[in-house]
Order: sequence, then C-alpha cells, then structure tokens
Amino acid sequence: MNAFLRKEFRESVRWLPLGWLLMGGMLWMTLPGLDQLSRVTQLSIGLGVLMAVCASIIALGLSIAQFGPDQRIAARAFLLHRGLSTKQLYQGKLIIGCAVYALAVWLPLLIATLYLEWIGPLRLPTSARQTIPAWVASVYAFSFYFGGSMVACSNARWLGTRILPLAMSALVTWSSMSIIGVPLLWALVILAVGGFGIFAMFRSSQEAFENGARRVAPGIGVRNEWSRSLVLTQASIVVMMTVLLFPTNFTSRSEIYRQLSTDVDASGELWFIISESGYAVERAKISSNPDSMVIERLTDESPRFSSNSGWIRRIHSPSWFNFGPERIGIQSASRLRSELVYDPSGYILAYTAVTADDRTDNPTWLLSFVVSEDRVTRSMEPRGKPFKEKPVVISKNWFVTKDGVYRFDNEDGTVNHAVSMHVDGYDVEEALDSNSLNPNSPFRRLFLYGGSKLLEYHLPTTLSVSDSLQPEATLEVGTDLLEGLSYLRYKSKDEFSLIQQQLGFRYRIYQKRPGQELEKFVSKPPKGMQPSNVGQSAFERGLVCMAVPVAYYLVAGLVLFIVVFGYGVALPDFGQDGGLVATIAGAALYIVIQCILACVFAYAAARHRGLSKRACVAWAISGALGGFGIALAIIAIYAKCIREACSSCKGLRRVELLKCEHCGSDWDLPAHEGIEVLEAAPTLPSVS
Amino acid sequence: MSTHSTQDIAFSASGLTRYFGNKPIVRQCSFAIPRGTVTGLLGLNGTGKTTTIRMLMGFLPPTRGSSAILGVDSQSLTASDRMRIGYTVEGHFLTGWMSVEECERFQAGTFAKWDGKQFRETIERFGIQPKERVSHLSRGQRAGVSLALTLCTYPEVLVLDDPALGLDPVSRQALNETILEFVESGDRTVLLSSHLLDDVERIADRIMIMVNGRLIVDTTIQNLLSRLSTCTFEMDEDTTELSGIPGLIHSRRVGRRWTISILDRNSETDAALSRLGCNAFDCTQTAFNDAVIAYLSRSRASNSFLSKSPSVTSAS
Repeated sequence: MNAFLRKEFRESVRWLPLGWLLMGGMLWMTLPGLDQLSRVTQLSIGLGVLMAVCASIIALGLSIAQFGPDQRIAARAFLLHRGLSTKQLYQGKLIIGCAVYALAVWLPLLIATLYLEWIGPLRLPTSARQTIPAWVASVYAFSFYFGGSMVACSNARWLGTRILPLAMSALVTWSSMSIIGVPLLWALVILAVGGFGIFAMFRSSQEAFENGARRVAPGIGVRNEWSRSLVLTQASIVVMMTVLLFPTNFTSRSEIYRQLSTDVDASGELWFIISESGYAVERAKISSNPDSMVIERLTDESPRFSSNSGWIRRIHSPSWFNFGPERIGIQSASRLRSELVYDPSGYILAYTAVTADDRTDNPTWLLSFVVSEDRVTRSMEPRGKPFKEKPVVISKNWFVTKDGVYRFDNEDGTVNHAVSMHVDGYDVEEALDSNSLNPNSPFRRLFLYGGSKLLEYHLPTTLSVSDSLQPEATLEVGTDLLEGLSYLRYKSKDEFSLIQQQLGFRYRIYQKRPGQELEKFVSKPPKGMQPSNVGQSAFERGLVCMAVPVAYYLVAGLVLFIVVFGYGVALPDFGQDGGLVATIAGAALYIVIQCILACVFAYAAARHRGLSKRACVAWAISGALGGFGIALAIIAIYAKCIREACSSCKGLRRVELLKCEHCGSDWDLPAHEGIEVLEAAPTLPSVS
Repeated sequence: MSTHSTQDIAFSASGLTRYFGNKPIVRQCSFAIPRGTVTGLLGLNGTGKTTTIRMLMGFLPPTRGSSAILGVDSQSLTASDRMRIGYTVEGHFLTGWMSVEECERFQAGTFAKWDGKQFRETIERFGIQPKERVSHLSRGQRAGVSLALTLCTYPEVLVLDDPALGLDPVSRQALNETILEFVESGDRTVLLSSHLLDDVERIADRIMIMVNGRLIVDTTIQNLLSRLSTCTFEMDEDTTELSGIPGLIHSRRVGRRWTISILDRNSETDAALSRLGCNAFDCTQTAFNDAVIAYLSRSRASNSFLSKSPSVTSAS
C-alpha cells in the first residue's frame, strides 16, 4: 500500500503550485490591509464565498488529475491488476487527495487565520473566528473532489449526464455558506444535511471508481447503489429546476426599484407610500377597501414623508453562526474619528483613526477602548462582562439590548443600565434636524416594546450617567398586537397605529384615533401601486410553479408552519382577500399540472430504460414528488436498454437477460457455418 | 474433442457476450483453456479479442454470460486472486515518470511475492538500465519491463494482450523465449493475444480464432492443421458457386488460379469441385499461417488493396 501511496502522492503533488497560486491570489485580494477597517466586517462572508469557489476548483481539478488518467483502458487495467483491492486503491487515492487538498487549501487558510489572529484586535477587529465560514466551506467544497471523480469515472456523454454530479457538489458547497446568520438549530440541520450529501457523494465516488464506467443495468435494482442514485437524483432535480427557472431572468422587470412603506401625515392619516431611489413618489390613503384607494402622484409641493422612520427594529437573539465583527456606529470628536464595532465575543470595540501628518485618507486604526456590559476599559486593560446579546447603538453612547437601554461614558469608564426591561423591539425617532445616517445624532423619542407593553421615552436634555430613564407613556396593548409588529406610528397615547406586515404586501392595521375605540382592519396597496419585486407576471409565476418540485413545496410548507407558529409571523387573512385566494388557486393548478406531467415523463423514462412495472410505478410516484428532474435522473442512473428480436416469439427481448422476458426461451447458439473447430466448453454458472 | 475437469481449466467462458451501444462486439463465446497450455488468441483488429480479455480479467462486465479464471468468476476476482494472474495490457502501459527501478519498487510493493533477481535478469536481456526513465525507453524495452514486472510476481497464469506489438525481431525473440521459459518452469498457462502468426505458431499449442465477435476456432494447432486442406485449381470465370462447397473456409483468386481452404475435406468436397468443372485440382495440408488467414479473411471483401480480386466464403 505504501508504494501505491508514494506513487499517487508524486503524481498529485506536482499540481500543488497551481493550487497555492490560486489560494494565494484569492487571499491576497480578500485579506484586509491595516487601513481597511471597512472591509473587516464583511471578511468572514467574503472569505467563505471565495473559499467555496477556490476550494471547489482545486478539489475538482485534483480529482480529475487523480482519476482522469486512470480511466484509459490500459492505465486502468495496469492500476487495478495488483495485490490491492479496488477499495484499497480508492482509499489510497482518497488519502492522497485529502493530503494534497490539505496542503493546497488548508495550509494557506491556516496562514491567513494566524495572520488575522495576529493583527487583531489591537490594529483591526479581526480574529481567527472570522475564518470559520471559510474552514466550513473548504470542508464542504471537498464534495467537488467526489463529484469530479464521478465525472472522471463516468462513461456518459459530456453533453449528456456526465457532469451531473457536479450539481450535487455545488448544492452541498452552497449549503455550507447558507449557515451564516441563521439560528443554531437550523444551521446544524443544514450542516447535517450537507454532511450526509458529502457522505453520499463519497460512496458514489467509490462505487464509480470500483465499478468503472458501468451504469446500472436496467434489470438490476438500485439497492446496492443507493448513494449514486441519490446523488444523481438530487443533482437532476437541481439542474432541471435551474434550467426551467432560467427564463425568468429574461422576463421584463421595472428598472427602477420601487419600495413600499407606510407613513402617517400631520393629521394622523395613514398612507401607503411608494419610494423610488429613496424619494416618495406615490401615495394612497390606507383603508380596508383597496378599490376605494386613490393613488396620488407626489410632487415637490406635496407633503414630505419620512419613509425611513417608523420601522420597528427587532432585537434578535444572536446567531451562533455570526463570525465577523459588525460596525455599529461612528463616534467623532473634533478631528478624531472613531468606529464602534461589535465583536461576536461580546464586546463593543472602539477604534480610533491614526493618520500620519495631516492626511486623513487611508488611516490606520488602533483599538482605543472596549465597552462591556458593566464597564468601559482601555485597550490593554482586562475587559468586563461580555454582552450576552448584540447591542444596537441608537445614538451617541446609547445602545439597546434585549435587557434594556444602556448608556456608556468612555471618559470615566462607566456603563449605566438606563432602562431595565425585556425588549423585543424598538423604534427611534430622531431629532428633526438630525441626519438619520449619523449615529451621533441625538434621538428625540424612543419606543420600546416587550411582552404586551409599549413604552415611550424622551431623551432628557440633562442626564447623569447614573440616572435611569423614565417612560413618558406606557401602553398595555396586548401581545397579539405587538407580535409581528412592523411599523409604529405614534403621536400620543390616544392616537397611534400599529401595523403588522403579513406575508405578501398585506397589512393588518390597528388604528387608535382620539376618542375612538381601537379599529382593526386589513389593507393592501391598490393595483398599480406595487413595489418592483412583486411584479411577477402570470408566466413567471407559472414557470416557478412548474419548476419547483412538489416535495420542495411540502418542505416549504413545513418551514412556513414552523415560522408561523414558532416565530409568530402573521398569516394573511384569506377570508378577506379574494385576489390572494385566486393567486394561490392558480399556482396550485400549475403545481398539479407539473405533478401529472413529471409523473408521466418519469414513467415513460423508466419504461424506456426497461425497468419492471413495479419500478416504473415507483419512479412515477417519485416523479410526482420530485418534478421533471426525476426523468433526467432515470436516464443518468440506468444504462440504455438494448433489445433484439427474439427468434422464438419475434418480440423484442433485452440483450442482458439470459431468457426472453416474453416467451422464456434461451438465446440461440450462433448459426453453424460448417467451418467451426470448437472443443467442448464447460457449462459455467451464468451471471447477467 | 477433449474434456477437462473444472480444476484443469485455467480460463473459461460461457455464452460471453458484450455489446457496445447497439452493436454486439463479442457474441456467445464459450471456451475452456486447460492448464499448462499456451493459447494464442487470434483475430483481426476490432474483432473482440481485447474486449474478451478485459471481460476475462474482470475489467469490463459482460452484457450476458460469464467467464472465470482459475475457477473464480471474473467479476468477483479479489486481490489475492489477481496475485495469481500475470497480465500485461495492450501497448505495455507503464507510468511514464517512473524509472525502471521505481517501477520495480511499485510492483514489488503492491504484490505479495516478488523475485527481484529474475526482474534484473529479464531487463538485462532487453538491454535496459534500472535508472532509466520509462518515458525514455524504446517500445521493445517497455515491453521487456512490462513482461518482467508481470513475470516476477510468480503468477500461475499469464494473460498477454498483444505483447509483441511494434517490437523489433530481437525483442520479439526475447519475448518469445521469456514466455517459453515461464511455461517450462511449471504447470503454467498462457493466453496470448497476437497478430504475429509466426510467434504464435512457435510458442502456442492451442489457438482460438475470433471472427466478427464469434469464436470460430478453439482447438490445438495440431488438430486444426490436421483437418484443414488447401486446394488449388484454375478456372476462367468468377463464380459464387464455390460457396456451396462443404467446409469451404475461404477462397481467393490470383489471375486464373484459385486457392481454397477447406475443413474436413472428403469425397463430398471433391464431388462439389468436380461439379464446378474443377477436375484437376491439387490439395495439400494447410500451413498454419494460411489456415489462420483463411479464417480471418472471411470478414474481408477482398485480398489485395490494389486489385478487386474476389473472395468467396461458405454460405452461412
């Protein structure tokens, strides 16, 4: 075995410089310089994505280099005919593949990890933790090694189903990137599914190597080659979906991005607002009857709407899969510029720009102080208690967490818990003269909600650090009004609106006017006032419904169920919305058509490949669930069925079967020409 | 006809058939090669020799039928089974970047038994230096290394797929001598695929001839030659009636002179020739080369690349 490992290593290691070149170039472009604080926040995602791409290329190239040359008839025979089993040979190749991949990908990544750990946090908010997505991506991108080996060992056509396994590799690699920012449980589920995908690809790759170019003969069940069937089926579904959805890229869409929001005017009326490029251009007074809404085109003389305010920002529990620091504010004092960065380790880091001479461009950065839950410390001092959740800076020296509102003073090193309550979400109303993009701007009013309460706070002009903030008003509105709250329009305790955005662009509105009871109604923007990203045509909707397999809809339904009942996202009121019901009915019709057609295609493909009636029915059911990709999978999994006329019954019989499937007769011996000189051959047990 | 017990059989096949696409390349081949023999597998290019060997070696699954080596199904050969089989692939494939001694180390490291002394002796016979890189070797030297790598693993049977392809006469002689030495050193069996009829005649005691994917001949050379006759006669006209001659393998015409090869000539054959007006014909025992060429020519329309000399085969 050692001799084989040495040979494989020498043959593979020669490609290592190419891998280093690719990785080195990628890391050179991605890693931030000491003056590039802004690039640090996106570093973990950037590194992860680039690693997924580069590592995929390296894994694919490596597998083709390792397995491709051995597929020549003579080379394969030379390799396989020795005192090592095909399993041992595959394992040997895999060991060397892993070793070379580790040298090509993980060695440069390790250097990058050490570099980031070395420069942070004093000079930049970097740490080894930021490379976790890249490490995860590099592990999952190794699925391209298995995909590449399956491609190399396949005898399918290049323009046929040969490269199909790479779609599965892409899916597995992509899954590793989708964990960023999602809750721990979901991330673990995604990683586990991706991990199972890698295992299936490993098994398929091993089978492909051991069995050579052989595809499953129609007469043989797929039980022994489940992994290959699974990989090719999943890959076929992905490819077919991509192909069917591709035309949607070319359907006409509005060039201008139209954003829909709600706002309230000076008289307390609620309006739907359409903004283009940040400017309100249309409005319609919100009412329960969309037909009664009139769209008004806004001009320079029209009343101004501050469409950016009123959004409720929720305090989310932090995801374990947040790896990079996040810029949460800027603090400036005279010419000294500071950036506040939240580090996932639980601290707010403040970096001060350091410039040479009088230049202000490309400054380098130095950590000046660290804000923790209980105190502010200098960069080299021991830090205090870390935040359990990510704080959100709402104004200079003010921030909110799930535990309430805090104010810190970096001069005297104190942190004051100004409001102590459980916070689900908040809204900040800035001072009228403030710049909403500048976190230094003082806020005028702050709204906090948690549980069933909504509280209004005013920022006092004088407040010592040790003082706590008292609410101006407290409203007991109930949890059902606050769950899923999207907008808050608050004038006074007697005049406010709570707006919940439902699925789609539909709104459930609770409106309180002075002296009136709380009114509840559902509204949606009138026709002709649609944001740009809902402009799907019936053709597009049809294409999507036809492309996405039924099984995915079932999974999506399950996810929706969990989201609605687990996270409190409001469902639309189907009873009050005929249009929505019609849209859903139309989509269901398309899905049923897809289901029937995919079922028929799968059955026809299975028949064409000569499968048994039972297998045909099983594949047809799979087609109904898996969509059009199932027919492609059948073609990829099973070899073409060759038939010849039977000399007994004249029916077409399959050439790989010893007996005619119609009449049970054996194959005729070759016609005797009278010139044969044959000694008697032994009768051996037959295999087919 | 001879019969052998299963233990006496080195290579066997039963109804071995292989399709590539819609085309049957090997059809219903059944044979049993006894131990201790050298068998030449002959056939034109593309007739299915290499495909048969690949199926026999377990590198290609048959479409139907089965084959076995040393009593083990070809598709189930284990690593220990393979160590009992010596196999040189068509074209003497070797890893180009290795030196000869690295090839030796690789082979010795992947087989349980290895005879280093014999390896060095064999490569010396082919005039090869151990430090030479494989990519720098001549075709004959590569054949020498390939054969040495195969023989030094103490195989019980040897499968050689066109080992003399492109070799000079001296290398061919060295190859033949090496094979003969191998066979003489014990109860060892060789299956040799080749186009070189002289070499096959010299070292083989059995032959198998494949025509269009079918096995037409599978017997000892002695038996084949004893049953074949070559008759020559003169006749002015082209005729297709020759195909009616019982046992006619192949006929060819050069000018007015016809030469026909016949299996199991008897009085019926002579009568058929007389009916065609060939009363004066001369029959002799067929030489090995002619016998093989007669069988192989059945799938070719004419004998000369220049003329359109007709050839007639028996009606199938």
